[in-house]
Amino acid sequence: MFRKAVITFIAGLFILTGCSEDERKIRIGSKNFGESRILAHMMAAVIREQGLPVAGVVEYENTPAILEALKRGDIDAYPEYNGTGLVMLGQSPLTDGDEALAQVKKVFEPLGISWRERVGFANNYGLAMTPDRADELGVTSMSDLVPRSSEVTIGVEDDFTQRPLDGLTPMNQRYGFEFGSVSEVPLSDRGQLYDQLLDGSVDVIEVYTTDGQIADYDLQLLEDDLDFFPVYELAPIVRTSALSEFQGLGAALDTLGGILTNQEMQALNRRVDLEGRAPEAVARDTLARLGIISSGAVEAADPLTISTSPLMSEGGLSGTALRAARRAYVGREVVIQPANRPLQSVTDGTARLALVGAESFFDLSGPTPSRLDQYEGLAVIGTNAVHLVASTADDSAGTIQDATALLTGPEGSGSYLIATILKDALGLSADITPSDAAAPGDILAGLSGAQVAVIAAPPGENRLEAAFEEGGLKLLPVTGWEDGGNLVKYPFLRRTRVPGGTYALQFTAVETLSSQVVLAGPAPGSADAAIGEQGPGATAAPSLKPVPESTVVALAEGVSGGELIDPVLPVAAAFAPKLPDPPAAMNPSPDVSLLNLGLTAMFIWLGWLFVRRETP
Amino acid sequence: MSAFKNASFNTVFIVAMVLCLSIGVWGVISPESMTGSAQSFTSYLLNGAGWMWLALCSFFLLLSAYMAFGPYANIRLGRDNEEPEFGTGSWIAMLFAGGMGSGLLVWGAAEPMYHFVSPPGMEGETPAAAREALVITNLHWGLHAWSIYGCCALVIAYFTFRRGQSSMISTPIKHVFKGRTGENVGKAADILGVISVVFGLAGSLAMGALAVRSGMYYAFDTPQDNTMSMIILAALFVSYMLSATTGVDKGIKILSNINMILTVAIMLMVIFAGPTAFILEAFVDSIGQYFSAIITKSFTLYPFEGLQGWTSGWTLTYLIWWLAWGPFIGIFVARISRGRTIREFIFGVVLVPTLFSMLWFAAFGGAGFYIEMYGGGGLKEIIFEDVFAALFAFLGYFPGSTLLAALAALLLFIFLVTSADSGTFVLSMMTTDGNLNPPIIQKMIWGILIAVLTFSTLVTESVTVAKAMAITGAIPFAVIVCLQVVGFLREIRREITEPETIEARGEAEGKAPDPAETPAQ
Repeated sequence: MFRKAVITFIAGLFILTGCSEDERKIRIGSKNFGESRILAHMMAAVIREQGLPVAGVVEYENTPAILEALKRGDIDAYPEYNGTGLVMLGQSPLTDGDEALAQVKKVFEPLGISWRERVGFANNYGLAMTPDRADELGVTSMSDLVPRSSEVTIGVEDDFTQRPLDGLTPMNQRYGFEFGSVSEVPLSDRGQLYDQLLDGSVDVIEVYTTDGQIADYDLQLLEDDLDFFPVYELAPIVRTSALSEFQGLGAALDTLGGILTNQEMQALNRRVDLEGRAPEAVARDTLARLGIISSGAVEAADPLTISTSPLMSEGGLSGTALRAARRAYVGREVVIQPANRPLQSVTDGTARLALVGAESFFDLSGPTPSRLDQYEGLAVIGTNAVHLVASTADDSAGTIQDATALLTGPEGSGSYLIATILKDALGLSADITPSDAAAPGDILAGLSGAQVAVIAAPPGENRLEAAFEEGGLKLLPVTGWEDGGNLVKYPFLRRTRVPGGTYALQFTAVETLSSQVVLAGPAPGSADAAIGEQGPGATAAPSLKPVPESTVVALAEGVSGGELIDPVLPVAAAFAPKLPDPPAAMNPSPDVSLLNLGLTAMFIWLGWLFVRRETP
Repeated sequence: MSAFKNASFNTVFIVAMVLCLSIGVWGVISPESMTGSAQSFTSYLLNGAGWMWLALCSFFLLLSAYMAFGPYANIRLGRDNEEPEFGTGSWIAMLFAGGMGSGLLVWGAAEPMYHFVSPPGMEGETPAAAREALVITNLHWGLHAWSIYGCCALVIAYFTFRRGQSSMISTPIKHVFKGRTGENVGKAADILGVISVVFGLAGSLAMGALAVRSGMYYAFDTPQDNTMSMIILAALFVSYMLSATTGVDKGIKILSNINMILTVAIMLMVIFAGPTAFILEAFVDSIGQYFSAIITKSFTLYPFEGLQGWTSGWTLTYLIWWLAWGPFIGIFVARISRGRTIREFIFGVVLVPTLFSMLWFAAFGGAGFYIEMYGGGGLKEIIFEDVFAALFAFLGYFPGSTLLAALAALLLFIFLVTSADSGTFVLSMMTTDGNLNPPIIQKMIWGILIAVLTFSTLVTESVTVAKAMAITGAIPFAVIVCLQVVGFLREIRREITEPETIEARGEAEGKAPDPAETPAQ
């Protein structure tokens, strides 16, 4: 009976998996960047929708490789830009889309490759600037930039500098640019261009017009008024042999015709490149919403959650943390989740990582702060300065000592902890008033009389700057910190200065405190528990696992600057300095020796029990 | 009432029950002090005497090999011409279901990945690390694990079926110490055995119930709360009570067979729906690597690399787990092995399961490596974050993943039931002087006690207590096994009658006359 059951069962499983190797499936290729991946998955989805077999998406390093694979028949189809198609076959790229498509169809036909309907958007090269800088220079088009070009630094990826027909040198020649300096990044790190543009180290960068960052950072694209950049409209290309082999393949691919505009593609790229969502999920979700495929989005795998206090969840630091985490956790969706006690969420398992200031690593309930060693710092994201903000009204506090109340973020947040420390360290009489404010502006709006808001943020943070712009606020110095043992008692708060002119109407530098902001994760358990977490029966012990070392290194590499974690904080093993061990004692632990002596005696006794003569 | 027939409430039963209840109450009232004491006790012995654990377990392996190939290989555990009580298939299925439990499923992809990413004393994520990872995993789940079981069971089975003595932990010990000492040491050993089985089982059940709960969450999206754990525990209770009360040849046998079918089915799915050739290559490769490394690995402790922490956290932790389950598996495996010769017994209990688990880890671990090396990756991070979620994430890479996830959840459940029913059965045997078909009332009492302990562990949500309970018993039990082995080795010598002194050509050759045999001389 059982034998029969086994056979039926296993046979059933095989039928369910339906795996027969010789069935020919359609293979789709993609290039190794977000947009190409999304479109490749869209192609796979629409083909599958027609009931045709699809083998999945194969990724290629660069255009020559994927085109060669298509020619050889390793893949049957992939998404390609008409401009690239022309360049690859040695033709001059064209600036008119329809013309370019007609031309590319003509030159690819002899190769047995068919160009299908264009998807609708064009991913051209372009130059982008921050709106502020563009206003300052008064440029809206590329020609406007020519007279100022000697003052500006341009950021480009190295591929662009090498392109013979539509790269940096031809562009300079066509427009007459003479850039002050050129900053290059490798093609695979294109995202850094945006970081450089935002931190002001370059003034203008070369972008792809469908980059998600353009909309995300509200950048200004300069108009290509001389029509220099050729058009790069995307269309699926497919082997004609595959078209005849699979009925309905061409029609399936044509359903993608004209479905996406540049803005829509920017939004999709944003979801993949910036939000770290899976290309397949984004592709299917979009097609389902457009009604092109019937059944909807693939559920995304568990997102990786970074918990941080509500005041930090919107700012630039969480952006940096998100980028670092997305680089370290490849293909994983990463989200920021506001929580009043971010480290607590890590313990609960509701978040994997926490973005916190140094103060959160200490338990402040005792007479001296004690460090919480169940967490470890993984990567430095930035530094917060303590902002003591008071209103400029007549009855306002002139120094922190005059404050009647300290307004802070929610209990447990960095700002609340710092307020507690200040109250204790400076002997303040002020009450601490926590609030559930989600932005610094909300706390500042509530300031009245001699109240002082305590906000931890990087100096010059946008939202604080905006609040100061509206006027009526002043920054108070932290005074009297050196008195008493504060420097020793609170080593994680360092003295710093907010430079003059950081905020509106703040003319002199302001003395204050700073705390490092780090990504934190669970620390490995204490070393004295020798028993491992694992074991045959240890199936569901929901213990917190430390972030593996390779991921820690990847996280730290994802943050530019490479600052070291403050040595007063618990540091991940990957960065902990290796200390030389002092010479060990000849007998490090006499109790262990006794134990082993006892055990040895036991084995001798067992041996004797075995060999001794039978007692009658 | 017929259920009370043969029920026995002897000293072992009463003392063990009282101790179980008091330890249980301690665990519920003050989980932290209980866990702390248990863990520091175990940790101290693992850190201080790591060499002893590894040497002891490797000794069991050598002993098994000696038994299978030595002079006693053809001794039958039963009368000389007795037929085995259970068919070979069911026999293997039952010992597998009782012995490995759900761990195989949960750690199948996870453990090789751990060693692949951070192997001791070498660079991770290299081809050499992949090879080393399978060797280490097989070391933890292979011959050592099963020869611990094999020795625990062999000593019992020999006395029960060959000598017709009672199937008790104390039986071999009574052959070491005679008279009153033997009685007392034997009683202590029996009581200790009962306690470690009770807590080992309750701890494993509590952790297992949580495992099933998360399994159901991934397969059917059910909530992960205490109510769900209670429902699972209730279902478990009913199933294992039904299975245990119907006896070994009905409930336990049928469930174990179903279990085996499911296990093999899932494994075949992974092999043939995954990278088949790669997995089989990994399997064949790991056979050679494992068997050629077995001698060095059996004695590798990394004292020069300063990796003692790794050894105790992995290798020794595994060995302790197997030892902790020893008293229960020992009696259970002995119970189902009637009528086998010692060689058959060792092959069936040690070699066949080891080969199976090697194939299993080649399939699961190999597919995991494949995902990391050629399949785009992404599994590693999930494994390091949550082993359990990783099992289902892993199954998600295969076609029909929903079906696979549901099967995995079902398999986890049945694994638990089969462990619990055999555990209940064993406890009843242990407290009825080794009755091979213990009375129902006894099974009811132990079944209920285990359910109550599991319930309180789940209610107080103290998984660490469960784990501490599950493995602490291993330490005193290790001493008991040593005594059992001594008793067994002393007795089995009698099986081979000393060759008569050969008188040839008037010369006295051979051994000198034994003064014990010829006192007159």
